[in-house]
Amino acid sequence: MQTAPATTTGTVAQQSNAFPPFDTATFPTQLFWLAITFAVLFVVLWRVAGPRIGGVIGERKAQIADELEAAEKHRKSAEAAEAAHQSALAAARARAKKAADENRRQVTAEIENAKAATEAAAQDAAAKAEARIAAMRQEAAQHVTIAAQDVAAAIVARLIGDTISPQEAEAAVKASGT
Amino acid sequence: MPSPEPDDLKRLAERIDEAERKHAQRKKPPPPTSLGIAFRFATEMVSALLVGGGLGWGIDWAFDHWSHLQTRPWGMVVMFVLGAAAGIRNVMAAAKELNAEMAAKDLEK
Amino acid sequence: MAMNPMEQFEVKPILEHPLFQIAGHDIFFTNQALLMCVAVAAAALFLTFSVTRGRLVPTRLQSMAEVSYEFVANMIKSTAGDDGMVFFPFVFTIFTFVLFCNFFGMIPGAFTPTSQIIVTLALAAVVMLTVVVTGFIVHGLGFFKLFVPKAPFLLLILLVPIEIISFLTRLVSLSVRLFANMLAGHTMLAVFASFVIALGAAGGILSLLSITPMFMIVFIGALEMLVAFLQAYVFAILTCIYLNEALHLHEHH
Repeated sequence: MQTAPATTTGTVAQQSNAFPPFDTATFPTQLFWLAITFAVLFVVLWRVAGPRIGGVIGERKAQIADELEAAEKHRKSAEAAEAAHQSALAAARARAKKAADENRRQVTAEIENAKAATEAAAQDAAAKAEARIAAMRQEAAQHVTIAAQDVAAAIVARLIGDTISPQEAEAAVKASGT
Repeated sequence: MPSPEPDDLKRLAERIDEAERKHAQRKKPPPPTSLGIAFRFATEMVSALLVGGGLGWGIDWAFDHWSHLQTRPWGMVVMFVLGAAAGIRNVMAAAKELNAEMAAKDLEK
Repeated sequence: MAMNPMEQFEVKPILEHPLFQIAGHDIFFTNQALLMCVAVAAAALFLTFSVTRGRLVPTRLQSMAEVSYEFVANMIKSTAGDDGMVFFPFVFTIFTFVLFCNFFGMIPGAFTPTSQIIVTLALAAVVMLTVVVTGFIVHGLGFFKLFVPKAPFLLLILLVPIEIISFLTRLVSLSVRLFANMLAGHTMLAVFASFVIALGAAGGILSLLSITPMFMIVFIGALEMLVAFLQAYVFAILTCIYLNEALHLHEHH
């Protein structure tokens, strides 16, 4: 290509008979432009684009990590709330059970008391009734004795024409062993 | 009593884990094609022969130019053989590398 | 259109006269210079202005820029470890430069800067120079241990030259790989394109047959897009691997 000034661009192409990539005449130009473009790209990527992309990626990563962390925290707090809710529920259940037990015990006790009271009253009434029956029986027995004395007195009077005092009749009845 | 479903929480946990995994995941390089592998081996071998031959030629030239010793063509012959050895060594190293890559890929599956 | 598939690799001046001279060499503004300028300008503008602060959900362009950034960052971290991140701007530039040059070369009629051996060789030389300088800065003369494998002394006489050759080989393999890939792909495309033109010009039934190479062009074109990316990736990751060796010698990170 050093011969290029003497020729036109068209003839340069036609002149080179060598395999084009091995045409050493073009090497200085190629190396020059390679060095320029590569250096420019290097500086841009090193100083501008690289830090820019890296910063944006880092920022996004931090943001996503933060948000994931926040989500995890919310999940944890939701779990904690759930646990608290469950334990409150359990406590309430326990309290309710206790109250119910207490209630049941009281009611049972009341029933027992009432039963006991009723039984006592019934026994009392029975005892009274028995006493009354006993008294009535005694009274009846007494009436029978008196009647027997009267009969005895009447019999004596009829038999011996004599009257006996009630005391004597009574002794006689008693002696007969009723 | 309507309580917050524990299932919902579990699903949320799974989703968070998945998002974290995806976030941590990175792109993998493309797998080498068989033509590419063959071409790579050929390049390694040819380059080594070129370098060996070139060095040998240079050694012969240097002896010829700076001393009275006539080494031609032995410098080139010896260096060409060494170049072939280096080429084989490089191809073997490349094959080992490829195997390691393949094994790593298989492990991932 | 030219029938010679090699014509597309000719570096031609756009401006007829040389801009200036450096050490006796004329410097022209060429088709390749134009392409490199356009590719670099596009890359620089895209990577700078597609990204805006404070977007939780990025736009498509922004996420492309971010993905390429993270792609390179992960590439470095996985091959050279965290201390390799010092070289992030360098590796990112290499990757972006090669990628954009490759892709802009895919535009029909555009020149492909990376199809020139001197360009790829210079890029590889910059990489290897960085590796050597890094090695000496980090390890001093201990960097030479890179060429001494663990082996009996007598064997070392053989192994050290092999290690040195294999180290120097990287310069060639790195550049030849990229160069040959771009050259081969674009040559194939040009060959099939010339088939299309030749068959089309032949007229009659042959014109209809020109459909076949057209399909091939579409297929190879798609393949070339993949290759364009893959070669940028390979160039960048090999850079990382070599830098890792310079940083850590043979120890594994």
